[in-house]
Amino acid sequence: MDKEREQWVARVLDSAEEVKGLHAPGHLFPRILESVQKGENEVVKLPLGQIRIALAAACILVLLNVGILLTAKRIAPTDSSNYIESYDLNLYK
Amino acid sequence: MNHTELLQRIASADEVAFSEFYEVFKDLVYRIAYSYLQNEQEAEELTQDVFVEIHRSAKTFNGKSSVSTWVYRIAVNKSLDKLRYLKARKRFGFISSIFSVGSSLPLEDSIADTSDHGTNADKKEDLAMLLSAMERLVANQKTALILTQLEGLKGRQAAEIIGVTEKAVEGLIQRGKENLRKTLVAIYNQRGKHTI
Repeated sequence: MDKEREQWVARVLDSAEEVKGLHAPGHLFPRILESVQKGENEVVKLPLGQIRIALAAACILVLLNVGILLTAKRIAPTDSSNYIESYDLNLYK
Repeated sequence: MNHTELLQRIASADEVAFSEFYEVFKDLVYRIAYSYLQNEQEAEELTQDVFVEIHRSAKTFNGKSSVSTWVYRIAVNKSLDKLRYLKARKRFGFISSIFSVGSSLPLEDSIADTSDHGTNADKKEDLAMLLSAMERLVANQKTALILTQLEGLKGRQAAEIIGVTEKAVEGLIQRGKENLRKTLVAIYNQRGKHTI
């Protein structure tokens, strides 16, 4: 059993030589040339959809920030003296 | 005309030079692509991508390494990128199966479909088994084994292609061989000698 297994493993490992017999098919070069020429003539298109989404997201963020700022201004500032009065500052004297 | 001169001519859009360059390196690129992808159709597509990249990057070749090392590096990097892409696509197998027009057969299946019988088919099957076992190796170990054991490169050139030291390549080869052997033994035990 072990001997058979070892023989099989050795045979599979030896098959690495088979890779050297592989050849690229002949029909590839015209396809490569076509791709190269297509690539040279290709105009880079901007992803308009993504740009629109990014702009919309930026607008929403700006509006949110402005909204928060305006709301914060409307709230009257708290008078800190109210809190200070509740403490007896002479406690430890 | 040497390979560097050919590249310079390719950079100045010389189609004849590109054709000559393709004739010299086409089998090398195809072998690398096939060793990684184990599929004829994918290997053809990758060979195409590699030569398009060579054409595009010809002007950036700086001559620090040999032209063959440069070509190997492009082929290996493109193969690893393609493998990553295929693995990612496999994760979303259901979705991609809805949109994909044709399916690519794994090597084992394509061998079963061929009309080859006897020794030649056996050898192909052994090679398919070997490449399938190599697929389970870590990327660097696999690359080291493909370059040295399948392509027959010296450790120094393999190190230059992978971008590690020669000593590191030796370590990768040793660990790769050990892991490959373990995987093959596991496959043998799993399938049983009758099916193999």
